[in-house]
Amino acid sequence: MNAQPQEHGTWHISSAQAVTMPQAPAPGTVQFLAPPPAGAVAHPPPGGNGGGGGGNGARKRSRANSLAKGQGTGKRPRLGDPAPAPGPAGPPPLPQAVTTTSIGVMDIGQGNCNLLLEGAHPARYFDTGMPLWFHTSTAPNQIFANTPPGTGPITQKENGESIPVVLSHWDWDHWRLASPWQQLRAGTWYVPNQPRGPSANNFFNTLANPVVFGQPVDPANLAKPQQNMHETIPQVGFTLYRCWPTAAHPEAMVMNNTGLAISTTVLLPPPEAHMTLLTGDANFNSLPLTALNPALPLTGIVAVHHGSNTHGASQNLVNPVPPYIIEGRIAYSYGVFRLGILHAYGFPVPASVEDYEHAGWLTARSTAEGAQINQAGGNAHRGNVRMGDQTPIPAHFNPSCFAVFPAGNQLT
Amino acid sequence: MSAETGNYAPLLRNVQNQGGQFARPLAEDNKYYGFLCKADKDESTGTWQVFFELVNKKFLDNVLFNRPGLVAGSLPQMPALAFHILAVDEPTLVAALNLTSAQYIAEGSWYELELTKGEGQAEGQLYDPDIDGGGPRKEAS
Repeated sequence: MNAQPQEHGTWHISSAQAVTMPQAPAPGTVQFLAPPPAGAVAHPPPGGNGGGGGGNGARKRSRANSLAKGQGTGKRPRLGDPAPAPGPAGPPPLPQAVTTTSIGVMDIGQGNCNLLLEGAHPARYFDTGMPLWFHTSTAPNQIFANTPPGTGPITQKENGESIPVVLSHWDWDHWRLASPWQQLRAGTWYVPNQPRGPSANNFFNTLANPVVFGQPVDPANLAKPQQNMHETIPQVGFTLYRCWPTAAHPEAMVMNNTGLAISTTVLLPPPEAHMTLLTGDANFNSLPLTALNPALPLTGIVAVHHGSNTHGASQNLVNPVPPYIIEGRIAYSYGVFRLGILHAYGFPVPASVEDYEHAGWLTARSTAEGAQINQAGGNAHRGNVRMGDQTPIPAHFNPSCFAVFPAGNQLT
Repeated sequence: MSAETGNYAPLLRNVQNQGGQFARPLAEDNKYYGFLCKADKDESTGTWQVFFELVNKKFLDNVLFNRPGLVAGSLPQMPALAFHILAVDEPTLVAALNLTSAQYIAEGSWYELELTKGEGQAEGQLYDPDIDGGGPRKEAS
């Protein structure tokens, strides 16, 4: 809304009052826009909700319900409405005959952007992330809109068709690349049914074909278990999952663990099909068992939440299956600042890298440091990581920064 | 399970227009609704990074909370801002957010926030979110 976006300087929080807080109080129960739980708020306002304590103010509940109303099912809920029935309609099917042979974990700095390829050809994205403004120096110059023509991210297929996108969740660093690159918004976007912030909402309103995946969260039935906790849509070489907490989760875990994840095939020598799991920021135990026990050998993953170890992200791991138990391939997507060796958020956490190694994910590459993960080498070995078939990207895409996979970052 | 905008687009435009007088990103009274988009503790420093998506409180009060008839599949375009706290220790953050424990620092929460210009204990940088398209921010040396 501003012609010239600008910084407004340093400000500080002088007062704050939680209005809503996502909660997963019991297995299968998710309340995205509920009032804060009892005991969460230190000093409730006069007549306010007090974090769910006695005398909860109607005003706060009204705020929570109104926010839910604005991002819910599209119909106005009423208390006492029946729980939503398991939807026979479900989401529209994804395009058929998807045969993914490799995944690219793209170097966009601190964030996540995965490109699924069919042979040499870009087919779809899982996340199109970009760093927060104060982390943008962790990104290569080519991902910004002022880069020379053709050198930016791949935004269309060779034939000019738009590229579909599956969004894991509404974290800024998982969708923001499609803000400056509007062609990325032209295709179908499969997004999770989660609350969105103002900027994410503005972005959502610009998508050409958004498809909200997952059972609607009915604000009138927030306390009841959502139906179809794990929704799965199998495709040829590609499966989409709705993540749900399988146990009572702390509030801080809910958003990361209620998004979308995918599994997909990749081709590895001699060649044979293997399976990979991409979860965004969701723990593996938020996926359905079908995702964790695929028919093909699971030998590739992208590290959960950029290599974080908070909330059990690196303690609930899957393992590569026999005979590949020490041949797991793992890609990390994170950012290192250009000056010095500082990692945004301290990702990947060294203890987390150890956890993955102990679980059998020993062959590791990263977007920020190549194979030199946490080796204090700066960005010298940065680049896109490709897992699976390494057929070169068609020359049509040169000189895109997404068309190059350094030899050291090829996971075969 | 559908595009959320679609037929609601004209209604949303009307709603947005009704909040037009408050459709400025910077709130004159410094009051905002803040969506806690990201909250991460950096184990290497022991500090938190917190990122809010903000909207002028008066705008949202006007276009949403005072419109009981609004039946929306989505919210209208909003005058958004970003507020990024780059490093704050945990007790300071918990106190600033008026919480009782860090366990309640939960992404996806909405807050009523009042900001004050200048430095303070839970200080951060306020900016227009679309500033990020033009190029990387220069690091301080």
